[in-house]
This record gives sequence, C-alpha cells and structure tokens, in this order.
Amino acid sequence: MSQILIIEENRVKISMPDAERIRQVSLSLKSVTGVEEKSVAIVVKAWNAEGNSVTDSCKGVYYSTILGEMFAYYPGTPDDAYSEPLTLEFVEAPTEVSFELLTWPGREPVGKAMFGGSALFVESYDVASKGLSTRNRILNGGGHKFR
Amino acid sequence: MIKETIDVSVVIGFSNWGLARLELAVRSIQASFGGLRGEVIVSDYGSHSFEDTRELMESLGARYVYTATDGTWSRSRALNAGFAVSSGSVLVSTDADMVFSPESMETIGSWILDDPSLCLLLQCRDLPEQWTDAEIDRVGYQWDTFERVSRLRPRWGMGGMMAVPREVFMRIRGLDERMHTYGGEDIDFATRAKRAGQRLLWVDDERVRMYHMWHAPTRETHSKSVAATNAIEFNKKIVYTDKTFVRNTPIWAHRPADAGPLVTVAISTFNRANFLAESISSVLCQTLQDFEIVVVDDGSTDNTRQIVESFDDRRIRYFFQENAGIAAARNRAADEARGYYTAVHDDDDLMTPWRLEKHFEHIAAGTHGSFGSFVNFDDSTGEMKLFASKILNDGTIIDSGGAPGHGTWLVETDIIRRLRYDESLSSGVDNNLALRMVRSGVAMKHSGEIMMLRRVHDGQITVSDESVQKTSARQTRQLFSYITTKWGVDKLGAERGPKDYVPIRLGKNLDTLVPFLPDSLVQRIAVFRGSLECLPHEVRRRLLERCAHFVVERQDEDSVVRYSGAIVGASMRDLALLRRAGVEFEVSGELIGSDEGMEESVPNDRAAITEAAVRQAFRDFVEQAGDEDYSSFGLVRRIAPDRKVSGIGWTRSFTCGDLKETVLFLRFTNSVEAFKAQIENDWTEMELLGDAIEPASLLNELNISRRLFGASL
Amino acid sequence: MIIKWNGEYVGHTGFNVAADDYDGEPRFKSFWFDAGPKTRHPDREAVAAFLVFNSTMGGLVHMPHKFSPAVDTAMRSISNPVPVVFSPVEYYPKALPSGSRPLELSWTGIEATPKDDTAGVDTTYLRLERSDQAAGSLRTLRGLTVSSNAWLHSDGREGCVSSIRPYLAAAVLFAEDLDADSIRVPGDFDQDSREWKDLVYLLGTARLGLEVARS
Repeated sequence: MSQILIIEENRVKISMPDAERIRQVSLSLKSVTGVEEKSVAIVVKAWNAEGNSVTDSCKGVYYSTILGEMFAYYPGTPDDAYSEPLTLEFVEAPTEVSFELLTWPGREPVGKAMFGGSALFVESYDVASKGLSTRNRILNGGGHKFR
Repeated sequence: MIKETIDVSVVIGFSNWGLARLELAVRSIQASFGGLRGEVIVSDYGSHSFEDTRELMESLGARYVYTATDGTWSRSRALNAGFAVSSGSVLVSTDADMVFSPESMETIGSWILDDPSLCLLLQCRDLPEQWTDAEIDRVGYQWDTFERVSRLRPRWGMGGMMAVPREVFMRIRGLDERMHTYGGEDIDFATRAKRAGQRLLWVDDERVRMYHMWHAPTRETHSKSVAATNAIEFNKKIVYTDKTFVRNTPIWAHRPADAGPLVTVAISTFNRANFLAESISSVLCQTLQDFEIVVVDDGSTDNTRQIVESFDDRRIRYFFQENAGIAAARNRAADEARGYYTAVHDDDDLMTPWRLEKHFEHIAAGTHGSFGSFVNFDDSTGEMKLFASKILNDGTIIDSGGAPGHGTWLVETDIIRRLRYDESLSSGVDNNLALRMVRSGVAMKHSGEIMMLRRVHDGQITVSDESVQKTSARQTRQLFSYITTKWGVDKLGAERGPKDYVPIRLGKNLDTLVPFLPDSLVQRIAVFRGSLECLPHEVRRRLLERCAHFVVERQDEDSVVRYSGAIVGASMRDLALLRRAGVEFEVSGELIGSDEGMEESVPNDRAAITEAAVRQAFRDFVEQAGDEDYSSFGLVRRIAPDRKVSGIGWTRSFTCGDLKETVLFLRFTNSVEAFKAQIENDWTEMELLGDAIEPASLLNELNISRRLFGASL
Repeated sequence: MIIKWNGEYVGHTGFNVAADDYDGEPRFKSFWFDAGPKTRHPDREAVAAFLVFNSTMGGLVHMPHKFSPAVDTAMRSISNPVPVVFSPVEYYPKALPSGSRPLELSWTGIEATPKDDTAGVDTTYLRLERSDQAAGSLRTLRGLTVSSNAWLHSDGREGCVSSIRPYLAAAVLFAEDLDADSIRVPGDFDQDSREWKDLVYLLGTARLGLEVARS
C-alpha cells in the first residue's frame, strides 16, 4: 500500500489509488512561520491518470506570469490554530495533486516541514462506480510519521 | 451422567437489567413450580458487565447464559439462547421484571403436560408506583395485596409469558431470530404455534398471576429513533406478511443441542456409486444446512459404502439392506429419519443449492409439504430442458394422473411413515404415493422453484421400465377416481386452466443453473468470504491451496477473523466444504468447452484484492456498529501494525501473499469527534463515512477546543 | 372454528373445517367417507365433529346444525380449561334416534373382537378402510365397510383414547343408519381414566353407549 500523503519539506503531494479520482481538496495550514516580511503563494499542480497536467481546469487556482505557475492565495494562518480552508475543485478529476509553499518575492521554500500541522480534506470518487460512490478522507500532515 | 428430567424450563431474556428486580423475578418463579421439576434460565444478551449477575444467578440456583452481541437487543435471540440450554418438556418465556404468584408455574406446566395441544399466554398485571423492586424486596411478596392493587395492563396483547410443549418449539424452530430491537416477537411466535396446530389459551385463572414490578420507563421503550422505528416496521412486516411457521431457515443460530435435524434427505441407492458422490455433494452445498442425509443402500455390489464414508460427515447416515426394491428402501429411509420433514432425493440427481431453504418459504398453515419443478440435463453435453410441474390437487390428478417430480418433494416424515411406499409395486411407487396422499387429505404446495437437476443417462429406471411405470400410474389413478362421478369429473375439469401452472423462477434463464451441473461438465469459480474455523486444519489448508489468491483478515494481529478468496476450478466438494464452514460464496461457471475464459474474470492484482477485502470489512463494521449514538465511521489506513484501539473500534490486519496492511475501523458520535481523534492520535489518513464533512466547521470546532482545553489537541 | 358438512367433487362426504383466531390449525382440514350416512342427527353430528377436531378448538366453534344443550354442556365440560364456546344450541325439544344393537367398530389393521357374552345377540358392524388403500363402500344387511381418512386423524397411539376418537366419530355418525344403540371398540383402555369417562359422558348425551370389546 503506497502512501496517499507525501510531504517533502515545503511540498505536499496527494497520490490517490488507481481506481480513484479527486473531486475536491480543502487545505488548511497551521502556524506558518519564518516568512517574516514576505508573502506566501501556494503553487498547485494536478495530474490525471495518464500523467498529463490538468491544473488548468482547477477552480480557485490562477496563473501567475511572474511565477510561471498556477497558484492559489495563501489563506493566512493564525498562531497555533488551523486556517480557514482553501478549497479547490478539480473539473478534470486528477489522481495526483501537489501543493508547494513559496515566498514572494524570492521564490524561496517556506520554512521547514510547514505541512506538519496541515489538514487536507479530500473528496474523491471510485472510477468503477462511474462517480456515484464518493469517498471522503481527512489527511493529517502531523501524522505522516507513521508510514 | 444421567441427566435429570425437567418438567418446566422458564427462560428470562434481558440485557443490562437491575439485579434486584431479576432476583425477585427468579425467586418467585422458583417458588412456583410446586410438585413439578423446574429450572430457571437467565439469558443475558450482551449486558456490558455480567460477572455480578452470573454470580448472583448461580447462587440462586438459576442457570446463567451470556451471549456476546454487537449491542443490538433482540428478545427473540435472547430467549432462543436460553432455550438452547434448556431441557424441560414445557418451555416458558418471560421477562425480567415480572413476579409470579406461588402456584403459577405448577399450573401452567400441568396444563400443558396434560394437554400438549395448548399454547398458553398470560397477560400481566401492573403494580402501582410504590411497588418497586426495592419495596418488594423490603416487605416480601404480598400476593393478596398485589391481587388487590394491581391492574391489568392497559394495552391488551401478547407479552409477558408464553408456554408451549418442547416439541412445538423445536418444530417451528424457536422464536424468529431475524426480529430485533423490540416488538412483535410474542405474537409472531404464538401465531406460528397456532399454524402448527396449537390452540391459543389466554390463561385466566386465580392460581396464575404475573405482576409487573413498577420501575421508571426504560430508554428503549421510549426511544423512537429512526433505527428503532425501522426495526419495529421490520418486525411488523414479518408478523403480518410471513405466512410460514418454520423459521430460522437457513440458519438457526441459537439451536438447542437436542434439536433434531429439520430435514432428512432420503436417498435410496443401488449400484450407482459413480453418481452418488455428486448427488450427496449437491445436498452438502445447500444454503440450509439443518439436515441429515439418510442413504439406504439397497444391496449394492459396487463401492457405494466407500463413497458415502469418504465424506466423513456425521450428518450422513448409511444403512445397508439386502436388495428389497425401491419401495422397501424408501420406507427404510423414512423409518430411520430423524428430521420432521423428508426431502426425497435420487442417487443420480442434483439438488439446486436453494432447494431445502425454498421449500420452507411455501409451507404455511395446513400445508404438509412443498415441491417444485425440475430440469433434465444431458449427462454428456450439459444441455438442459425444463419440466414444469402443475399444482397438485384432486383436479390435476384426475385430469392428467401425474404427480410432480418425486425428487422435488419435501413432506412431513410422519406422513411417509404412515402411508408408506407400496412394496408390492416394482415401479411408479412415487406416483402411487402422491395420489394416495392427495386422496387422504395431504396438501403440498407448488414452490415455483427449480428444485432438482435430473441427470439423463442410460440405465434410468424411467427409461428402462417405462411401460411398467405407466401401468402402475394408470391403475393408481383408477383407484383414485373410482368414486368420482362424471358430474364430479366435469366440475373438476371446469376448474382446470392456466392457474394449474405456477411461474417458474429462472425457468427462462436455465443458463444460471450451469454452475450447479456436475464437475465433469462445468468449470467453476467460487468467490468466498468467511471464517473457515470449523474446518479441520488440513482441509482448510487444502482448500486455500486451491485458491488463485486469498486474503486473511486478522483481529489485533492474532486471531483469524475470516478468509476471502477465489477458487478457480472449484469442485462440488469444495463448495460443500465452504458451505459447511458457514462461508458466504458466489459461484459462477461455464460449460467446459465453451468460449468464455473463466480465469480472466478472476482479479489477480493483490493490492486491488486486499483493497476490496478492507472495504467489505469496513462496510460490515458500519452495519454492525452504527446506531442512534454513533453515526460517523472512520477507516484509518497506513498505521503501524502494533496500533490497537479499544472501545471505539476494531484493529484489523489484511494479508494477501507478501502484501500486508493494518487498519482501524472506528465509530464516533459525529465527524467532529472523528477529526479530533485523528489529530490527537496522529493518524495520517482517515476515510470517513456517515455524517457530512464540512472542512470549515470541523476546523473551527478544533480551534475552539484548542482554545478551551489547551494545546493537547 | 367453522365446521361444515359437505361433499367434494371427487366424491367424498364429510366435515370440512376452517380454523379461527384461537384455534390451532387442524392437521387435516377434512374428515370424510366415500359414502356418507343417510341420516344425520344434529346432536350426533356435533359430537362427531367434536371428537375429530377438539384438540384444535380454541375459541368459538360453529357446528353445521343446532344441537342439544346436553351435548353443549358435555363438550364445554370436556374442553375445560379451554373456554370453547359452541353454537348453535337448540332451544326446542327434538327427538333423539334410537337403535337396537351394539355396533362392532373396527378399522384397517384392527379386527373387531366380539365379546363372548354377546354371542347370539344381534350386532352390527362398521369397518373403516384406509383412504389410501381402498375406495368406495359396501353395505350388507348386518353392517357397513367404508373407505375414510379417519385413520389419518388418529394419532395411532395404541391404548390411548386419543387414537380412537376419529373412528368413534365415524361410528357415532353411522350408528343411526346401522340401528346401533352402543359402540364397542377393540383394544385395551383404562375405563377408570378421565378420558374414557369423558367419552362415555359425551356419547351418552347423543344417546349412545360405549363399551370396550376386550380380546
């Protein structure tokens, strides 16, 4: 069984089992620190089962000419509390989605293990059910040490 | 050890009940047996704590039985669990908050011992509010006062106490174990006893009083949750729409050890060892396993005995006799039978797997048996042809003289024993018996089912002996209609028509019967899921070796809960083993030589197979663990194998070859509790079922909790 | 329970019953002969129906014709503690049939065993053949042989009164046709038992005697 949630410092990747497609992800972050005066952007990427990018069809994501990437606005995290969720809807249901936290200006990775306190609410469906069977998962960034 | 004979067994079924009340109830019953030998059985159906109850009941001299449950209350199952260990000739059910006046059980028991045609019912009298268990305990049973101050329960109806002879309880197979939560169990049982011939007597005798000790209404009686409402509806539907009286088919979970088999499958055989094994296997594959097989070997000179003994199944009993003919052999089977009903089965034919179960769906009041249609199959090609039977009555017999296929009958054993097959006939003994039964008043109902696959092969009696058989049938019919006038024949003829034929389930889809043809004709795949615990180790190992793949589901890493897998090329004996192990399975099959490639339809991706097993187990958990208190269910994946949960769910591990995953199945009051538990326990991934999930409100709730209770969350 | 006397197209004549709320379902709903009695007195008809179906009577029982208060009282007394209510009970006095000779009752498998001290006395007989082995009837000057399903209503328990009740019912029904005054049953019965005394009491209300023909 492979991991669904993969966290690499400032990047989190959700990789669904073969038979599932992502409909929607709500991301919440906790206590993002070390940013100081800079602002934060979330670079979003999504791939379908064939490995092609379907990020363009995602609602709630915008193209930044300066970044050269699709990004979503960072929701702002209160101290030691969960942020308002950032909800992204995927029209061309992907199997993989990644979020990367970057500072702007600078395009520096934000802090270390920033997703350690994150929560991701993933709504997906089972391909075999032709979309009728919905699954809801909560992925807890703080729990990723148990593999 | 010689077992002491008991006249009356009284069973109290309860769950989570006050000890003081229970003690008063038990003591009053024990004191009311008079000259009869009585026993009180306290059946605790899933109380949270029970050691104190056990200790107290045993100190009182009552028998205590505990059944672990999933939390669902079922009065039927609780009472059956108590009766399962009883030994009385009269069986009495009652509740834990009733006290009985001093001559009650003696009177009830004596009436039924004197007249076993009775089913007794008793209406309780409610004691007023000051007469709580504590008060009765303090001042003792005040029978004269109780008589004066008590009032008949305002809602007239069943409940409180029922008593029947033991044989009747066995015959109708106890209370209906499908019923749960509450409502309807008593009226259902009494109605079925009536259908089986018992007359109902509401006891109104001053020696017999049942007083209800006052207590505050329990939560159950007032809770009108959706689940409870659905359960009540479900129970009602059974009471009002199910016209049968033999229940707990196919499975009687709380079956008394001394209950005889429900059905005797009677097989008479003579030198057919080559077909007999499959004939027996088809019985062992039945969905209803409450049977015995009586094989009467009518002087075979081949290896019939070895074939029968090779099954090594205690339900199969073998009797050899010097060759005496088919009628004598069938009579011997009836004489040896222990089942209340006998299903006739021929040594070269195969039963469809639903046969025994379906018979009982058609046996209602006044019906002594049921039958169905059959399909002929060619022993070398598997080609099938349906033979639809007509309904069976005076008219259809006078019209055509024919009776339904003998190998589709199920009839009360006592009727066969009394009418007997005519041993002076060499052929057509079954048709002769059918006509004699109908003439005498025996009623058999058409089930509309295909009950049997009849093997067409050389050397069949019907083929080799056709003219003798026709002569026998003609002569029997001549006797049958001897006193019928032409007017009568015309009247009966006028009633004939399309209604003589009953629609046959699957009659137009005979292909669905392919998996049930003999091993030599069909390639099968059996997909199964269940515990193989009751199979001997070696048998289980062999069975699993036959699987293309299988998943082992374990609880807390240790004990095996169940196996799931697929056997490609499953034989009838494999299917019989699965059925014996109580395993659910689906079987598909194709005729050998057909174009379909069976193997391709079996999944072989271990990850997908394991995933399917996890999901099915999770669905089971949700079904079992959900109630009005718990409506959110978590499936936690990818945890360390040593993680255990207690109280809120199960730890399960799934192994398929070298692939292994441990998961948690959890239940919560709502999704907020689930989310909190996830964060607190650092579970990476949790799938949620049940309540709707709104991320914003879940996060908000968690933030509030953190502010209130600090950073522990 | 509603009890009717009728004939069936196939040729039987006898009782057909339908169980009501408090009745048990009778194991066999009909009790018949291949030839019915020519005369049927309502009292004897009620007694016969009671003998066959009593063990399933639990509430209101409706007989085919009005019967006497004496029959009603006997049936209610025997039914105790089951509170069976019988109807319709006759109000106006009616004549009862009378016979002149003992009736030797026998059935398939059981031969009639005349008593020594009745030698020379005019007797009649009723022999009941099993419905599944014989059809029709044979009337002779002295008696009657008839095919009936009475044997199936018997529980077959040797020496038990319950086993002869259906045969006795047949004898009660045919007694008038056969000019019988009392019924003589084969077998060994405890004549001091409550069941036997109940039978004597019940038949007495229909103006019939009951005796055991010991072998």
